[in-house]
Amino acid sequence: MTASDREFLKIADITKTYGVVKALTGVSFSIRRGEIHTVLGENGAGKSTLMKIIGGETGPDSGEITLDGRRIEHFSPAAAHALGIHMVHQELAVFENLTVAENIFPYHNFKKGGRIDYARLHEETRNKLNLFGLKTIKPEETLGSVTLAGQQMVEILRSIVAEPKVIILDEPTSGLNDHEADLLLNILKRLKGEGLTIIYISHRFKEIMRISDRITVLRDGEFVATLENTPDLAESELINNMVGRDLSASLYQIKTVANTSPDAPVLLEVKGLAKRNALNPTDLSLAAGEILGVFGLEGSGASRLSRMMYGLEGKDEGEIAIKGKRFPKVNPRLMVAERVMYLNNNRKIAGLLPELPVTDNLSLPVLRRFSRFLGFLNLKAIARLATDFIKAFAIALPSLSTRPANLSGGNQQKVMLSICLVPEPEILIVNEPTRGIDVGAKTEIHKFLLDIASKGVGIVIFSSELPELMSLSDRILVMRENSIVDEVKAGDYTEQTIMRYAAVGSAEPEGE
Amino acid sequence: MLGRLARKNESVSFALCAALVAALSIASDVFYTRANLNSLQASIAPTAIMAFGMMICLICGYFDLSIGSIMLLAGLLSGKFNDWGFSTPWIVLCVLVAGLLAGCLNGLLVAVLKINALIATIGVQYIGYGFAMTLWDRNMQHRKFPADFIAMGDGQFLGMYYMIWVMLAILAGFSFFLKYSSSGRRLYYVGGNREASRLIGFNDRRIIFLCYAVTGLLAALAGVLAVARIQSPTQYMGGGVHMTCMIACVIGGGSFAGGKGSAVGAALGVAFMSLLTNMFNLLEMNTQLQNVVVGLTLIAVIVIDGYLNLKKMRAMGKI
Repeated sequence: MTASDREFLKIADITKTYGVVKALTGVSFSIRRGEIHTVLGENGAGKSTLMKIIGGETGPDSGEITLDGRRIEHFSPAAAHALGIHMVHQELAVFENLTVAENIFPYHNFKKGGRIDYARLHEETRNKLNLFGLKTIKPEETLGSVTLAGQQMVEILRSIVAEPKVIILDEPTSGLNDHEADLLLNILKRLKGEGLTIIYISHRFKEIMRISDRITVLRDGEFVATLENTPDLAESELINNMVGRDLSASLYQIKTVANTSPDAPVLLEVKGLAKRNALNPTDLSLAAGEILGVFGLEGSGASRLSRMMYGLEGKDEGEIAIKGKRFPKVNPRLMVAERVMYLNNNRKIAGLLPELPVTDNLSLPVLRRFSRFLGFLNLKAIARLATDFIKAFAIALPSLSTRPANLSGGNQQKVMLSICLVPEPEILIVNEPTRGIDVGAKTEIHKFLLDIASKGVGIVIFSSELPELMSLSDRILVMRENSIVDEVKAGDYTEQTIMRYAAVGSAEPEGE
Repeated sequence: MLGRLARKNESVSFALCAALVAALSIASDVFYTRANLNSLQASIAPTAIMAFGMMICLICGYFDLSIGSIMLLAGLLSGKFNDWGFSTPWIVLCVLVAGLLAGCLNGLLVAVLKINALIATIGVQYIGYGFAMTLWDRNMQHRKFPADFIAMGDGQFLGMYYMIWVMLAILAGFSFFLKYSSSGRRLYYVGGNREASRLIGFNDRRIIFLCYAVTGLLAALAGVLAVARIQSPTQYMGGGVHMTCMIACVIGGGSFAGGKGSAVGAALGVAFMSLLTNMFNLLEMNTQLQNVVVGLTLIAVIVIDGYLNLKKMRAMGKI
């Protein structure tokens, strides 16, 4: 193998920052010509950002990428296509209104006498579909009436007919069942045989071990290792590389003893909550003063569980009991009335009114409490309330009328959490409470959550940051493939055990 | 075979038109008279020409509320150019250029400056209307157009007005464009999934710009033909025609969500609207009820379409 084959796609010292968050820090590694190279890492490890850079959807802050010895100068999808790099997204980028054939060949030039030759287009499409064993999909049918798996295949085929040199697949099997995934993996092996270089992102260890030639692990935006996928490679080695942080030196104090007393009353119970293709029947219970962590990799169903618990997303079955009161159906309004609050995971989309003063934001859930005769608001009382929270949270604010849009991410997050606390909830469901904020704000939010838990508030934390969960939670539920697969109690926490449950679903290494 | 026909988007409008024609043949003895057929033609042709423009915007996922104003502007500009002594070809050419420019303004606002289509085209609607009305004066309707100008509206070939032939030619052209040309198909990609069309490298903004430009041009053409037919411009031309076109397109298989629709559908939708008006006139029904029927039909078409879609999605287990 020549040097240019060994370093076919060379990623050199790539750094990318979003605000205060370093998505990638000096990442360097190389991808060989004609290999299947998996990039592995926790949520937020930087995989997606790196793929977006290679696929030309965003540029790096520094560092460079070379393909076949030529440095990539311009980062745009069109430029990437011109170089022969195609990316297949996790969210399907397909045209449901058009036929399968038109989805596979958007740039076709099958014409006869100046008009599109549909017979030829369908014939060519049929050949491609047959080549990949997709005989059940018809070229002339509308893509909208094809199964999700079929749509995924069609999108991959669209990239392949452009005869790329490199194809990036971001979790292509996440919407597929085992049989469909199997079919796809065989197709990838065949494409590799034809000389295509494939970058593969997945959380499914079995798949990764089956098709990868090499595996690169990223952690917290940094390169950890590139491993050869030899028969000796053990899952545990991958998991150790994915986690393997030196926690003794970090800001996190791993909880070793649960703080909850065994006779604390149960506040919240979820019974048999389920939704087809989204969540398998799930139970959980939360006691007063308890902090319950929920951990899962992307696509594990964890974030969906949080939304379904709060009635933000519909369910097929199951019920929720709050302090013994059973509710077959919940919605956010009812949850607030029952003093359950929810912290949204994305402050940009929901959770704040970025263009209204902080005071208005804070008083929003409890406006009625401040309304007096004829509904006029007691503005002084609102200002007092806001001042209290700003002090308690150490929110850095120029004045009460400052708008959250002008605050840093950390302060926005504090305002958002304050909004949840204003109605004095007994139960708090928080989703990624410290995503994308600086260390100082993070520590303060952690302290605050521990503090309100000690006062009897029950908290469910959904987080993709394992050390955070381990330092806050009394118990951690681990989710994988839409189910809770295990519960780990404080004292038994190690990143390796939890990650193993999340990644492969069993405590003992398979086949060792 | 029948099932496949029923799933064609144009089938609903075709069935509606057929039903109206059948009803009118039975219930009215003047439906087939020369005069009535002539007036139907004159009502269908300009509206359908504008509806083709609306349809290409809808396919891209957009719409144009300014076409009525552009039609009015075109009509009054023809009068003005006539006053200035332009010959017929020059009148037509200058008016079409004006329509094209107005369409480009829409395209600039929506595709380049990314202003919401509702705001942008309402803005142009008002600009166009206001500007047009500065051209209007009471005496305009008494001035004579040259004979060859009037012949454009009055002349017939094989029993049909020239404007119907123009409409049919555009229909044929657009049908070919939308079904058999690569550039025409791109409209469906952009309207079906704008983000994805950008990811595969289509220049979505250029496509949308061009659709608006062509729509302006067609609205101006409709304006000229309508003036030639009635032989004098009036200030009432084009009033509400943007809604008529939009409703006709949706009945004819277009969608505000974008990604679907056809030229035949647009023509059938317009034919339905004109036949309905014709029915209310001929049968001397309360014309106010006509709006009720249009509204109900529109909603029924959308609800049925949505329901069928929902059923399909459920059957596939997508929701």
